Amino acid sequence: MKRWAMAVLGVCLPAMAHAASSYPVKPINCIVAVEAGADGDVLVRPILQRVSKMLGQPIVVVNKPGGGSSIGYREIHAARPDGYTIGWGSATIITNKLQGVSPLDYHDFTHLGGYATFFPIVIAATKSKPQFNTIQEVIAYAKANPGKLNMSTAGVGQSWWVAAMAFIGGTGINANSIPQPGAGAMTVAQVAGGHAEVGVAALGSAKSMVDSGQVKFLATLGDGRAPAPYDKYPTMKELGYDVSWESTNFIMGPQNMPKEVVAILAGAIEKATKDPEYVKFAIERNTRWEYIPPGDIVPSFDKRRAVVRDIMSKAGILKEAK
Amino acid sequence: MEGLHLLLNGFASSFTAVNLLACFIGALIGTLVGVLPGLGPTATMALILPFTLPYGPTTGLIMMTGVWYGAMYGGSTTSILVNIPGEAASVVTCFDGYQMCRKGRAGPALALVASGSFIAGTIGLLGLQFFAPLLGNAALSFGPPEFLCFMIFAFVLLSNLSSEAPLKGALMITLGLFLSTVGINPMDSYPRFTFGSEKLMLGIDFLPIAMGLFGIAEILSIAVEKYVKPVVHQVRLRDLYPNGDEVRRSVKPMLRGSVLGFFVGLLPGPCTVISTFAAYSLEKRLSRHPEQFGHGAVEGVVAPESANNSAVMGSMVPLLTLGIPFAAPSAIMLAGLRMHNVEPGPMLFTTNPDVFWTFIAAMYVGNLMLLVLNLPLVGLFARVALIRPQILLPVISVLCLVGVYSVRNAMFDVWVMVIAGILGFFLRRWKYPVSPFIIGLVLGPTTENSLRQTLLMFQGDVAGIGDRPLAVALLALAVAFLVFRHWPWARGKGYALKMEEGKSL
Repeated sequence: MKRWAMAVLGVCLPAMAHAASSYPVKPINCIVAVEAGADGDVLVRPILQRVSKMLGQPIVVVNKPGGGSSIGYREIHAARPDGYTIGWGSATIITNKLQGVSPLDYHDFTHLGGYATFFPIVIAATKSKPQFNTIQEVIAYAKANPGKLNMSTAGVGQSWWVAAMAFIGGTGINANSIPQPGAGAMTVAQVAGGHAEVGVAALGSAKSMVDSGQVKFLATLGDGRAPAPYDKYPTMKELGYDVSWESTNFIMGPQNMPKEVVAILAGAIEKATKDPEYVKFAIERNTRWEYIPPGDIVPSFDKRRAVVRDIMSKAGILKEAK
Repeated sequence: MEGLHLLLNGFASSFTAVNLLACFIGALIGTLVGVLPGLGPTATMALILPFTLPYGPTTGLIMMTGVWYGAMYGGSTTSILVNIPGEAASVVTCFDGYQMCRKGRAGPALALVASGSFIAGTIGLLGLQFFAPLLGNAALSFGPPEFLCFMIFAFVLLSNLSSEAPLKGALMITLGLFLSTVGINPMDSYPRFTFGSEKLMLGIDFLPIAMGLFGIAEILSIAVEKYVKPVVHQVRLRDLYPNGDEVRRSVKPMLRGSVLGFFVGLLPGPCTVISTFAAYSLEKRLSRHPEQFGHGAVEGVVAPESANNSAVMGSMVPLLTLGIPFAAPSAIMLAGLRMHNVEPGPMLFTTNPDVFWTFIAAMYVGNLMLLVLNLPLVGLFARVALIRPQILLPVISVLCLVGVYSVRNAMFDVWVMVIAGILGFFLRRWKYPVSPFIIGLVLGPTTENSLRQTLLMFQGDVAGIGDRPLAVALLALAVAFLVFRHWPWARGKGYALKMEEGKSL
């Protein structure tokens, strides 16, 4: 049934390839588990274009959003590990399993390299009654008025929600978090409208409101400062709080892909990521550009998993799926 | 005056061959995906996004708006001809459009819809041109309590959509609300009613249900009926275009639908869909012959179709003035603009005024193009209704299957549509209204999330709503509507008369 429908759409896979040595001999499918036009989607497409040019075969992006990306991840996992199905991944792959949404996490895939990191920032309203100009003021207010500070966040368990929880936990404040559905637009709109005093969102979602002065940029929750002109805002680490969370985007495939295929793909992805034009593009898209070799993905995610596991168990939503 | 000068400049720069061509291609593609059931503007815009990159931000923006806009024009076609909504915002058009078609008035319905879309598009553009920055900030004043009250108001407003069996209607709306909770809740990412099935995590989407309940159910109904060869009426040119009475009855609904659609379009969520329901409901309420609704009332066709076109323009307001995409198609447009390094938002008017004004000018042109493109097609499309069902229905079924798959690339949605079709077939036989079901499904998620957010915001104390004037005003409107409806003295004499007809409310 599924194959039939795909054939109708013209993304059918021709007969199976024979030898991996001549890989790739047919178009490659790339499953992207977010909506077309979402940040992750926009950022991965130029890489795939470059890889496609290098390998001489088209790469077809298939968007499979939904279920906190877990549905797309499952399809990548279930695909034949022949190199003709690869996929996009982000930090949701850590949270999925911890929340019980999916039995899979980043250990269950073949990694092909990471290329950019999205990071969240803390923003403050300009229309709300208590107004904040620095992150220290926020912390002081929340400590003096426990439970009074309204914080607009992403949906529970989403990447930027984890960031907000890390912020609340790491600073020891008692804030009232109000999760918003969607990709971050609503989080920012609620702060801009003064319905929440502070919020945690990706720089990209907040940028235009920050530039126009309708929300204030207070601090970065990533490992490093944001690219210019936002590099004047401190990271939480610089201020002495052990708070950091970011979402690295990477490309992966099903388990047990042939070594030769992995080498070809990983090489092409590294080259595409390091293309100066792409570096510029990634930074303009409000990320911290960095190339992460396939071997480094699992160790770096292991560290983040420990952080998020702790946060989720405190929030009472830890429910590791089997 | 500076605005006018900038607009003229905009016209000048939009009249380049590339921009006009982009506008035309976008409008054409949009009309096509609108006509093809299931294929919607969001997926199409995502597909053409990469192709617009070499041509600069304005051209890209023009082309993508053309698609979105064209889809709103074309979406009504299948609704009217075969009772299958071409895309989500054309569900309402099925109610009366298809009935008009069965009475041999498909041509007028299509022609009026095209004109209504044109007028609505123009009104929407005027709103966008003159009031964008003002309205953008107004849209921000909606916090969770305001959304909650708006949703309550919407339920009250839309509750008159089905009138024959209020209890059955209530049952269906509840069922719709219930089904909207299936899947992963976006607020707490918790899977509900999934029975451990990963497929159900996707949630029940609105479009496959609508296409199933209307389209597939219609196909099944026709299939089990005995085929009676229709009396072949020669389609005369005169029958293709609306008569004086139809035109007269359409003018006001078009204008009301346009204004309503524009304002609903400012809000987040499935605004184009809600605008159509709201416009239909409003017309039914204002009409002197509400009993004609559902039986081919021309007002019930043009008002929602006008509303969805101006809603597109309305939802451009938060995108262009705030940089916040409230609807799925505008999220893709945002992605497109950012790829060109144009950051929409409050600064757009100072950093890239040319983008904004060229866009406005191009949309005036595109709107006219769509009218010119669509009116001649009326005759062609009207003939579709005369094709033998043995040929037409299988073709339409296949288009539905492919279309519904393409939205989320999920086989699950195809099954949802098929099951909804079978269910819809029996619901019709047993005379259960299906539109309340759809309303429950559309309004459910926003209602639930805003209720939960309001409770979080006030820490369980709903009395906090009292401090929010806008929320209180919306609640008061809802109460006023209820009073107006249930207390005869509030409606005066005409009320008793209509009660006897039994279908007015």
